[in-house]
Amino acid sequence: MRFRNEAETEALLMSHYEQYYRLAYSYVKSEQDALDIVQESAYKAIKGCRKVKEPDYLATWIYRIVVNTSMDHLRKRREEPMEEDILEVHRNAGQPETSFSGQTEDRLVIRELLDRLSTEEKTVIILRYFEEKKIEEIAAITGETVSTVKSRLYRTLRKLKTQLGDRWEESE
Amino acid sequence: MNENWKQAYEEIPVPKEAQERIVAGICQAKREKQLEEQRCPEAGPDIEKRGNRPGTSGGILVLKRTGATAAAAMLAITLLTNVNPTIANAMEQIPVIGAIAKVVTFRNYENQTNNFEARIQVPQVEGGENAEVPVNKSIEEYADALIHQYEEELKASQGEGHYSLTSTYETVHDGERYVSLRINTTLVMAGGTQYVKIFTIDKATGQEISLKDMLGGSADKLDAVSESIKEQMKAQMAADESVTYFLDSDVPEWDFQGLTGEESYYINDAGQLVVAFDEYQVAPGYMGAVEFAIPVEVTGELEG
Repeated sequence: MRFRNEAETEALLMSHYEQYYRLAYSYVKSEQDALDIVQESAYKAIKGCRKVKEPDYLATWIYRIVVNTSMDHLRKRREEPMEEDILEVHRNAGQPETSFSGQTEDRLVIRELLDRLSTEEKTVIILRYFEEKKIEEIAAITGETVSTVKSRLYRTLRKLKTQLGDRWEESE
Repeated sequence: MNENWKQAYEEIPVPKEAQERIVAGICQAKREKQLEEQRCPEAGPDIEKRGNRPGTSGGILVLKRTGATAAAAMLAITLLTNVNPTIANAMEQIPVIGAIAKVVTFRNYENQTNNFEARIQVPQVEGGENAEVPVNKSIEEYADALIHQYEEELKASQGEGHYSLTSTYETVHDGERYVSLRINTTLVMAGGTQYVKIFTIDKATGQEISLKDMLGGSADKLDAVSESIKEQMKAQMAADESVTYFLDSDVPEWDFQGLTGEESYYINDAGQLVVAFDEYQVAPGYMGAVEFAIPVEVTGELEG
């Protein structure tokens, strides 16, 4: 069992690393931090996979590690000066939006909106719509109850809908 | 939520380095896990690990996996062919295999289901006059465990995923007294899996012979072999910058401390003792599974 868990964990890490990176990046908004998070997550996953009793749970469990590791990074960063974040915002603001097609522009707006969400809101939206996880899986990843996840998801959707206005109706 | 949303997310560029960092994390964890196991070889997880594989009594059997590449695995069985008439007479035993040991393919296991495939050659050592060759049981058990592992993975996969297991064999040494049979097993999933196992069997008695036994039980000789390995590591690192061993490193607890006498080994055509290490055991993963041939001056004459 132990051997299988480790082999399975390694296979998951190698085949899903892009998803883990994007998830981490969505929180920390920094390439270097996201890279640190994926490495740390892979390390924690291989180290701890023996403890996972049910191999079917490994995929969910790895997401949980990535989410928690990202949160840790955010917490640590809050204790440090925010210079990098400010720089990032300015860089984004300076981008020549006119050169993008309408569709690309939409996506930029979407990303910007996503960044305005709290980390908890971001987690449910990313996992539900981009990683296509079931509500039950999301609850297992965040360690919350299904009803908490559900109500947060609907609340967040409503919030996005208000901010997007007409654009939301188009895209729905 | 529509496709635009998902695309916006998927357009987040993933740097090439992400994969390397995943591999780095995996390797670091494995290295540490292995060190823990080496420190307490009789601890729970290790027993469980041994239970997964055959023929573990006395020999060493360590499981390793590479991060990115499939690595060849090897199983070398050194057989003591009891042809020395003095010893044979003294023990009043008839040689089991005799001067000419023949290694033949006993059977082939082949399977292909979806993206799962296995090709496992199972060799056996033929003795003269229908003599029972005890080591065949161990070889058979080793192959059965590989097949069992494959079938379990296949059953658990429910048609999903990739899995390729290939096992072949070769005779790497055929001397007067010993026959070394090396079984190369390669497992490819997302990365590669490597098994390293070497055990030595006295064909007349069926008892395994450890590295220490091969050196006549001499702790001094074992130390001399350890020193020879350290010297070779140093010389190689000095000659080539890309070569790294865990020796005099920043992390002393990872360093190669010396042999225990239970390491994998065989005797090469030059009559030298060859000590084989697993990946990560004495060097970083990119070095692969490394071997050191020990000069005859260090070990003394060994019967081939």
